[in-house]
Amino acid sequence: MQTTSYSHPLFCFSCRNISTNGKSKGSVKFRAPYPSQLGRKCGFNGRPRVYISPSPIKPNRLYVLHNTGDNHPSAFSVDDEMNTNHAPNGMSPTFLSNWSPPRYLWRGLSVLILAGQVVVKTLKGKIHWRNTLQQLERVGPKSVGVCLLTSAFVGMAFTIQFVREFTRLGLNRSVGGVLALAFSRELSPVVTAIVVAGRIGSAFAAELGTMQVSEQTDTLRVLGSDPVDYLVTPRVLATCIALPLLTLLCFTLGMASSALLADGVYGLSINIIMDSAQRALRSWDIISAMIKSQVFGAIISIVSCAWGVTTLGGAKGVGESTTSAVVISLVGIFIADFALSYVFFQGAGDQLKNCV
Amino acid sequence: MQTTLFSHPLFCFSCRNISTNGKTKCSVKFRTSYPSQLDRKCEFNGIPHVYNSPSPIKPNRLFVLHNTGDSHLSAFTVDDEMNTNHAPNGTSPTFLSNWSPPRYLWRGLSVLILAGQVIVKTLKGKIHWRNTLQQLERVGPKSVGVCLLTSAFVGMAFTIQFVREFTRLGLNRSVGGVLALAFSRELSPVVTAIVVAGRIGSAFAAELGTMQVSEQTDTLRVLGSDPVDYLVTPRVLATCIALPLLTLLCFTLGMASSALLADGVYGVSINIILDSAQRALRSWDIISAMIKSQVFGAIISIVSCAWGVTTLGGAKGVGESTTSAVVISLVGVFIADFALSYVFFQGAGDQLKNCI
Repeated sequence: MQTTSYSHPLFCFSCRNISTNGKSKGSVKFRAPYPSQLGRKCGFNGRPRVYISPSPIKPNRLYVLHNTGDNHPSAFSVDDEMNTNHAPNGMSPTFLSNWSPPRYLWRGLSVLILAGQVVVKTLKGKIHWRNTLQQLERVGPKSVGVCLLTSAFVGMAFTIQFVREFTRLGLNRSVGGVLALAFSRELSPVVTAIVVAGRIGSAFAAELGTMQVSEQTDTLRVLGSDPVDYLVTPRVLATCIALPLLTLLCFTLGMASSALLADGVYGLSINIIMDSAQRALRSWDIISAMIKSQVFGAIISIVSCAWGVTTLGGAKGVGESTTSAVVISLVGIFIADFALSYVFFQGAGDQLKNCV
Repeated sequence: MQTTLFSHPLFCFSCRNISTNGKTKCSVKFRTSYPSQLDRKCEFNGIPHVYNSPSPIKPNRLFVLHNTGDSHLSAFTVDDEMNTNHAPNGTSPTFLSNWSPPRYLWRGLSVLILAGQVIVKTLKGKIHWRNTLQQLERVGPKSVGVCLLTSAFVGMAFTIQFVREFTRLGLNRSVGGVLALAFSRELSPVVTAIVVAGRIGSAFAAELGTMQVSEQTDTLRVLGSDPVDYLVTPRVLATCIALPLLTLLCFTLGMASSALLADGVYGVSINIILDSAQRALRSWDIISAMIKSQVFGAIISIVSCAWGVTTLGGAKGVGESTTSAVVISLVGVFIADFALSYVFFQGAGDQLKNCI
């Protein structure tokens, strides 16, 4: 479907209505660039027209049309939009009909649309608290064990390298500071986000994808609920609240496992490690780690939910959406990590100097 | 099913045979601990027996029985095994019938069994080369873009922190060495493994899970192919071959992006960075990074394939298997990273001293 994937459920809904009664006089035909992925063709009687490349504003208007419950005005309004859309464009229909943007651009666009909708609805206070608490219980307590285990091993792995090299340089006393800064600024937020992306992000994409494929999302619309309110916003809020807390726990346990390993294997006293870490750290390091985690949580949940609600093609599509959601979440985390590091840490720092 | 999940397809196969003809006089009943997850109960007429907690050796014998193609002999031999199994055990059946190991222990056991089978068949030379090349093309070239992009951003993020802190310490000239060692020993193998686990590991689990749920794995057995030869070994070999090469590429691009950022933003010359890196690095650092990557690749593919072939419960089970496979692959990568770092890097190193 060349229209944005967000509006696809609307057309399916209209098509089902039309197939039940035969009174419709619609006159619009939609050209599908991925015929094998469509579960059912949506055809209207009448002369054929091509509805190509609508502007991003259209999905909201099409979405509003849905609430009228009258499919005939819906089709009529779409027809109007099509005529209006042709006037400003100087391109010939021949060229437009041959070209179609790739599907992942539409999905990327749906990420932005979904993010905007979540922000707007959260600011309006339209939050389904029971769902949010359910999702928070999934993201938070059930992920603590895996995040802590991963953070402990990452801390020990980096301790081996830092203690090994810095001992010969005569910087024994600064090992704690280096570990504390590396953990608070980079490792804790990123490791927590990686585990949550693999565990929670793929679960979100698989769930919403299955709901989309089995038309449960359309059922929610029929029942009068907004799927963004009911399904997406609780998940986004849950990850934004849970990840900063998980990062704090991971930072604490990572430092503890580093100190234990340095003391047990390499003979560095725990007191030296802790004292050096205390002198190197500032409150901004902890605050920036939590802000980073919140941004990562938002990226994970919005990308996973957007990929879930734009799933096509049955069980195979659900698997593909899940895999793509995890990969794009991971890439988004690393890009955001660099951007936030560049913004948060300007100029030369002097915190490591305090513990030499 | 309390028997190992590896033997579950065999029983399903036997059950289908028995249901087609009604001549069988078997006398074994299997007690299932997850009734809601089984698509179909396997029952035989006759006196009921409880088949509890077989030893790990049994799956191989049960698997061998499959090749006879005679369901009656299969059931008869199972009966023998059950009687033999009771004799050495002093535990009362009442206690055994109340206790059942959790499902993830059986899946963990199937990981070890599958790993052993892959090693044995690889050493025997039973490699399906066309499938291996297909999987290698999926793991290798199609993942290069994502791995390189991720590695570039990780390199830049760590460069910000290292240059910022080391400048004030007067260790400007050692920034390249620190980055090179951090990349070659920890960051390149781990970042590559994380991206491959999210992208390839989940795809493996989803594919094999779907095949298992839709009984395509049983069809392979009917056609005389061994699913381990045809499906699992090519995937394991592909990841073991591709990950070391991906790690080399990621290390190169990570160092390049670090040098460009340090020169462009922080004024540390590229020549200083690369000269310091050259003096800090040794060939063992590169070799150990590639060995680490190969171990990570083996962990990712064996865990994902084992979770895929032990999927139960339809589309929901496929989603759960995919999510669990990614999480356990990530945890396995971090644990193996610590273990290999501890084994490979003993004692105090003096490589960083060379570049001051």
